Amino acid sequence: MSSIPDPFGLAAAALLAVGFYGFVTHRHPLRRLLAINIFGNGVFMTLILVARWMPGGPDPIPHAMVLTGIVIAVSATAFGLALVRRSMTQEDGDRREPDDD
Amino acid sequence: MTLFDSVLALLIAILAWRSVTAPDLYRGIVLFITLGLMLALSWARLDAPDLALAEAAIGAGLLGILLLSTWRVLQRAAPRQGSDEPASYAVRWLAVVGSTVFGGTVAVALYGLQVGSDRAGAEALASLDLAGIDQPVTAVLLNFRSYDTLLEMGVLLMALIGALLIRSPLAYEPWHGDTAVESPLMSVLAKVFTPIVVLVGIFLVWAGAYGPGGAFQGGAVLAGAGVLLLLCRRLYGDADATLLLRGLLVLGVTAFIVIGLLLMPWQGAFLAYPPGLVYVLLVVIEFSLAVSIALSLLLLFTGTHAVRAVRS
Repeated sequence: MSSIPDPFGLAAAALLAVGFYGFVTHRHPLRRLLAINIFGNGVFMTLILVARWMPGGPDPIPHAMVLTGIVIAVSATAFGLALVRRSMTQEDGDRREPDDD
Repeated sequence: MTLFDSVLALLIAILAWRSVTAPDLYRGIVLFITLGLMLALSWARLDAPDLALAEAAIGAGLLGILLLSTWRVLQRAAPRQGSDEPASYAVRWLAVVGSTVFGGTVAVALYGLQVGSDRAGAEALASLDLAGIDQPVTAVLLNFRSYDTLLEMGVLLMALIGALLIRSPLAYEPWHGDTAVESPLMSVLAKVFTPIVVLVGIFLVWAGAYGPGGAFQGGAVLAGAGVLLLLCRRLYGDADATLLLRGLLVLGVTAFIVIGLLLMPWQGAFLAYPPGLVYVLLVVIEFSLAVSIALSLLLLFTGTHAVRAVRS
C-alpha cells in the first residue's frame, strides 16, 4: 500500500456516500437509477484501488471483475430504464385514450 | 502528479454530488456523463486502461445516451410524472448524516486495508504464457475465469430479452413524432464518422489480445456506431427480427459453449483449450463476443427486436 494517502480513496468513499444519499432522498425512478450507478462506480473505484495497491503491480483479477461489473450494471440499468418507460407511459395511457398504435 | 490526482478526485466527488442534487433531471444526466468521463480518466491514472476504455464507451457513452433518450420519452409522454421534488428537510438531513457516516467508514476501512501478498492475480500473471494471450485482463476474462464471461453474456442476453418483452421502444420508427429537421451534419456524421468508429471498434477487439482493449470495449464502440446511424436516420428499429439477427445475438454465447464442449473429449474439462490452438480460439471467441455485445447494446438502445437500414 502506498505511503501517501491516495486521493482516489476519498473519491471512492464520496461516490458511495453520494450514491447512497441520492437513492434514499429521491423518488423519481430515473434519479434513483442514476444514484445506483454512482454507487456502483464507487464500488468499481474501490476494487481498482485495491488492485493497484497489491504488491507487484495492478492485479488483473479485480480488473476483470470490474469489467464484468460495468457490463452487468449497464445491462441492468437498460432493463430498468425500459421498465421505467413502460410504467410511466402506461400510467399516462390510462388517463387518456392511446392515440396511436 | 499528486496534484493532478487530487484535483481529479475532488472533481469526481463534486460532479457526483451535483449530479445527484441537480434541480433538473436533464442537468443531472449530463453531469453523470461528465462524471463517467472523469472516472475513465482517473482509472487510466490508476493503471487500469482497459477499464478506462470500458467506462468511457459503455458507462459514459451508451448509458448516457440511454438515460437521455429515456428522459426525452418521459418528457414527451408525461412531463409532470414521477414526483421530482426532493424528500422533506428532516429526511434529507438524516440521509446526509447516514451517508456521511457510511462514506467515512468506507474511507477508514479502505485506508486501513492490509493487502496480503498471496493473491490470485499473481498466479494469473505467472501462468500468463499458458493463456496464449499477452494481455492479463483478457487472459483472465477469456481463459482463467471464462465461466464469468460466459454467464455475463447470459446476463446481457437476459436483460435484452426482458427489455424486449416489456415493449417500450425508444427508436421505433425513424420519423415518428420527431419534428427535428434533416441537418446537413447528419450525412457527414453517417458517411465520414461511422466508418472511422467501426474501424476503431474492430481495432479495439483485436487489440485485446496484446494491449488495452477487448470484446467489451470494442463491442460497445461498434454499438456506438449503430447508435450514430440510428440518430442520423440511416437505421431504424423494427419489430420483426430475422433468423440471422437472432443468430448473431447469441453468437457469443454459442461460440463459447460449442468450442468448450467440442474440446471436452481431448481436454477433459469444459472451457479448457489446448495450448497450441489457444490463441486462435480466443480470437474467434473474442470476435463472436464483440458481435453479440454490439448488437445487444444497440437493441437495448432501440428497445426493438431488430434494426433495419432506411432505404433512400
